[in-house]
Amino acid sequence: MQDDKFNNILKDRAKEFVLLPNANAFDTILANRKKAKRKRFFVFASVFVFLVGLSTTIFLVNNQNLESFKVNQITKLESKPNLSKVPIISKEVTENSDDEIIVKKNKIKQNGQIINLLHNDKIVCKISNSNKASSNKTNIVILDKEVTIHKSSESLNDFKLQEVKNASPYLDSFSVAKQAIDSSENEDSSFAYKTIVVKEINDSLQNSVAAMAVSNNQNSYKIKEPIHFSLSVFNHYMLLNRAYNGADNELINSMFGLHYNDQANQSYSLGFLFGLTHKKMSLKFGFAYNNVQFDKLFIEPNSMGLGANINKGALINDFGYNINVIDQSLSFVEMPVLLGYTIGSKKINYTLETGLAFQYLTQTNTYLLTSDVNGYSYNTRNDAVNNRFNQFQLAGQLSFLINYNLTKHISIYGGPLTKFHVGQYFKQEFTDRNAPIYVGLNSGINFKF
Amino acid sequence: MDIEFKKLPLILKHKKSGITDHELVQRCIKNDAVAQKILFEQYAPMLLGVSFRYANLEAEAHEILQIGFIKIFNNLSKFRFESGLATWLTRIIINTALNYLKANEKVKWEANIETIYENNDFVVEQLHQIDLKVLMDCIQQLPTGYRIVLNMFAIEGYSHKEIAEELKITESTSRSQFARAKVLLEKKLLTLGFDIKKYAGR
Repeated sequence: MQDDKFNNILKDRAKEFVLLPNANAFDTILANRKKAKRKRFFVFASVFVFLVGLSTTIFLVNNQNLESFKVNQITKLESKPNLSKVPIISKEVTENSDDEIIVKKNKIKQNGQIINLLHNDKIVCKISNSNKASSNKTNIVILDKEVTIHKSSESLNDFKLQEVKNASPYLDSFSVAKQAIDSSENEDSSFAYKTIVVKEINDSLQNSVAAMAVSNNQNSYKIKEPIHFSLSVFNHYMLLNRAYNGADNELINSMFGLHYNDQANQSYSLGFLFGLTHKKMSLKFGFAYNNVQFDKLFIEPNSMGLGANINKGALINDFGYNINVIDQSLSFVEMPVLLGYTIGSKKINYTLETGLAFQYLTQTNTYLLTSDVNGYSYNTRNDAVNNRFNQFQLAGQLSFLINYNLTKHISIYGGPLTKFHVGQYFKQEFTDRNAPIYVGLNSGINFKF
Repeated sequence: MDIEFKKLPLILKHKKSGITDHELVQRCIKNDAVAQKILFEQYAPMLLGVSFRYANLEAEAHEILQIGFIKIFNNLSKFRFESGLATWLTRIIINTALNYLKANEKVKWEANIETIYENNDFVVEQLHQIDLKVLMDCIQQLPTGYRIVLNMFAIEGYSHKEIAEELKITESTSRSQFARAKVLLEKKLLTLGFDIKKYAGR
């Protein structure tokens, strides 16, 4: 009973109790909500990038049969098709008595009806002749230059091999079929032909694919395209930036125009990238720590009289002829997502890489070192400048890499790099739209699995 | 439990604005800044009073209010009008306050060195006579565990079972926390010179 009374009274009194929130509370709530939204966006973007990377990995691992190749089997063609538009580069192979058939730079040796085909990757395939006993002709269109075909137990009566160099972009399944017919001297429609179109695949796999397709008597064949996973540890060392320190815009403009010297800074990025390479394309994503140091900006007097700039961020004192220094460093954690295209030989190749880096600003330190006419210097932290930066940044990256393969699995790389902020560098309330552009060196070591 | 707002001057303003809760909510969902401000102005004082009772300090109460309102604006679309808007908002602020306290301090539920004694002569009626701000300050100064249970049981009307489930403590702990809170509250008021009996009849 006593409790009930106590509760009721307390409840009644509490209902009456109101407090006025701070005058700027509503604005703060809206601002924090916006900030939270941006944070959520960053988190979602990071998760998205991670999931894309992960799902791509899983997809590529589970579906390595990315390439599908058509195999056309044509029997009993009634008439010779019109071949006028078909580019034909063919070479008829003659039979000899050796134990094996070797196609190497247009040379061939053959023996036997069943043929085992070997290639660099030691893929062994069997190629059967046509079912038509009367013809026993098999046409294989091979787009590679080097194939080794081993012997079989029975002799091959008539084996014809066409080599089509660089023709794949012009061919479709039917044209190759026609090509095969055209290149045969016998126009008897009872002849059976098996032709293969191999489109745009890796050099090392072309012959294998062709052979496997013929061997399995399939109209389509999928091969396992090699997918490489890699882990890179990299370092970006910035040689030059179009520095921007976030101080007053008007003053900065004057600084860029007239009054400043930009010393080489010590900006760098350290991080790792997990990569997927498919054919010539690569997708990399990872994490990095990014430290940007606008090492020293010397603001010097000029003939226009910098004394007029007094009170603009306290950068320049009354007298205009003292040197003042901005010492600033920004730290980011970033999540780069990079897309690359590689060309070149096995030992040395070249990659053009571009992408985005989602950055989260972890630390801002801006110090103003000023001196007065008496030679006293002052080092003051400037939070007004520190607080100008957006917590979340988006940076673009473009780099050209020269890769040198030390071993099959390890390579080192290096090359020029440029990074630039594409998002809003400063908070929305500031009108400044300037943002740094960096030019530097990108180097690292890559482990390929 | 629907709270009566007739006593609050801001509710009059709400009535003056001529916008129903339903309309207000719909506009807030569409991110109408004007509506959001109206909602804030209408309910923030009451909700700040709620968060004040749970917080350790007034500054914390303001912070809880801000966090709570961000949640409110983000989740208004989930409000189904099955209860009063004020009830729903209060519930969010209470949850926010509980989460805030859990995140920022280790709430102790055990009995402390305070001597527990039953004061059957506690003149509860006299609580009416005490200055409201002083009373709320005294509640705020209670140890966190006591304060939470006192607020939830005595003011919000939760049962000890509900409190136990909400705070993941036992019912008996909740009861003992409440009993201690009551005793300590009386002691605090007396320490401050507010002899309840003295104020009786004022």
